[in-house]
Amino acid sequence: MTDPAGNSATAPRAPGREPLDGDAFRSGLVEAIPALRAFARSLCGKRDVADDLVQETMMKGWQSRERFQPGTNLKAWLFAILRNEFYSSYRRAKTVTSYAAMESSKPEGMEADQHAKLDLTDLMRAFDKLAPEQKEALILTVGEFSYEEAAEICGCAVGTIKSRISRARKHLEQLIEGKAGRLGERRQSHEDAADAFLKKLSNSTSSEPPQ
Amino acid sequence: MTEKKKDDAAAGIAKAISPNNRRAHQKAIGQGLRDYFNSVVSEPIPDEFLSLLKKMDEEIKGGPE
Repeated sequence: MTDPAGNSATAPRAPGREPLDGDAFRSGLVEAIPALRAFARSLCGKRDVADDLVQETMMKGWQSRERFQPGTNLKAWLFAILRNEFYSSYRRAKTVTSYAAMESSKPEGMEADQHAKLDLTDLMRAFDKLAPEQKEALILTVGEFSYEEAAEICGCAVGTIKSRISRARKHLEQLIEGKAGRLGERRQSHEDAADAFLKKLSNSTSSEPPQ
Repeated sequence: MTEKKKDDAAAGIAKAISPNNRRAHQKAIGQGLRDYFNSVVSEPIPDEFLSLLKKMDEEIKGGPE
């Protein structure tokens, strides 16, 4: 993977390798759209903001396609562009109030299954409280990539990805258990309440087999 | 209760949970995140993406016909 951000001219192509032609690049781009949308939405929370981010990513990728090195992972290359776009607007918008609303909104999705929505919404609400670095580490490795690929996309060490995932998972569990504890019956111990809540979650999610 | 206190309370609860339950909870969390990801992946691609692709097609052909 070379220079995914397209920010500098420091990306030499491997000698003797021609860039992908437009058609090949285009079909790789099309193939990546669903996963890019899922990654973007997990970072932004909001569907329309996320879809705008994916479109920016596609344009940027398309414009700098000559810098993509054939034979390397196009999807990972596009994910890295999306990530760079996200962080640059995240930094820009951090001081803008409207972004605060965006950050606190719950992720959209799961409209199809009303039952699953209740429980997954709670999980995703907890997820939304995580720092972006933790969100991306979780989602990249849950969705499409190995730890090594995720590290390359994020430009950090594999160990950093692993520790972000472990902290994120711990934090999620605490948020969910805290919620279950507050929601649970008084006589029930916190552990039972959290257990029941998470059981409900795993039942409702496993009823919908991953594709 | 402040967010910080809530988190501390949550951490206290989490500490009391047995390793077996912890594994089950982590499994449920992983499955939930995967399902979230897959639910977005399986959505149909919105039209605005298709018009963006059309622009690229025109560029490949060397301009609009």
